[in-house]
Amino acid sequence: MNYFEFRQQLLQDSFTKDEEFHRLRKEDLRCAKAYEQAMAFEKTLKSAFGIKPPSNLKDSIVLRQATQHTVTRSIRNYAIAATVFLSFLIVSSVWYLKQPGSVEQFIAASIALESNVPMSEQPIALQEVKKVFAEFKTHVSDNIGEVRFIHDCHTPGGTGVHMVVATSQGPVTIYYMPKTNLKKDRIDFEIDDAKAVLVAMQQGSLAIVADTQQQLAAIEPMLQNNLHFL
Amino acid sequence: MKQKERKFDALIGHLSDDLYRFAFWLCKNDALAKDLVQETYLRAWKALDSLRNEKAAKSWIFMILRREFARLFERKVPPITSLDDLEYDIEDTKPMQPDDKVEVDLVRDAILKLEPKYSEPLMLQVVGGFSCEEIAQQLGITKSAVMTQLFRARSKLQTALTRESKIGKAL
Repeated sequence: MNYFEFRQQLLQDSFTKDEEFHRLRKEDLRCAKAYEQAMAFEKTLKSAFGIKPPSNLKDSIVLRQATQHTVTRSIRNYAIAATVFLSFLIVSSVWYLKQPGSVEQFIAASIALESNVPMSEQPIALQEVKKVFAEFKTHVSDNIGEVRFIHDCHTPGGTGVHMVVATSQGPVTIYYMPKTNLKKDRIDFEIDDAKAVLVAMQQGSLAIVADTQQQLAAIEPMLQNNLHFL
Repeated sequence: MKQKERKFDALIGHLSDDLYRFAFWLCKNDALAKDLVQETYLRAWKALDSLRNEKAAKSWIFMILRREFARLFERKVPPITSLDDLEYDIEDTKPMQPDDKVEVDLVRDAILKLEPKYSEPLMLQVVGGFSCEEIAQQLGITKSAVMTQLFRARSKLQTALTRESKIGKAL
């Protein structure tokens, strides 16, 4: 190490433990002087960086940690409460949606009250059927099947029509509910072993109850196509 | 929890003053520096379990401070290149003679004018007491690059000090 390297070392790290550096510091006068000047500069540099920290620094650190801890815990508690509440809300909503609506309940109750499906021996004339529907401002445009029973009856919101149509697979019970508007176009449900469907119409809705899905599939479009609100 | 608190205090509790000084020269603002140190301790508390080598605790927390500065504070730091622009009145750790005080202020003024690539290694060396190898690790650069930057930083400060002293004497 020569004098210039020594000076370079002073500007890089004057507190180096390099033996050669310290030997020169002690033996070479120029190096010793440079070292002395460097030490004076380092003292000034240390003082320049040496500012006094705020007296409350440690307290503020502890306070920040304590506050943050409390805030984190509060947030966690709120999060747990919100999760429980939302879970409850979701479970309740699912449960509520699975519950039968008032129309389904009415149909189920009506079916339960009938010990036997009322049926005449002969089919009822189409004119007679049209006459009953006309009272509800509804026109029957074509044959709607072999009607074996038709009568006005109580339905949710007002009077409607109770009708039984005979099919090759057995009777199908139909309720026309002119004052009942459904939230969906179609709601499938079951009453004991029977299949039931609520269908939204131009005016009101229809409830069709049958023993099999095939019967429903046959009757539903026929009624939708032939019943017209006037 | 108590055990963690004891470990935390023993490892880094005593470093708050040095961290504050380092933070102050990074932020050039007392309030921001205080916030930065508090954030650093919060981060360190949360991450204490990730500290594998307890001997490296000092490097670790300085590293956290630098990262927090880059993450949260760097954009908030106002451009300050002179002691006159500094809103905070620097309070010295030791009482000084008037001449010494003038020299120290000249060096402080020159530090504020240094580019971060020169001032940061110097701060880590003088305030943090880190070796060139440790600074290289902290900054993610080579040891020789650190030595070059330290050399240039001190040269710039000495040049500024000499120039200002000459002007002072001439006046």
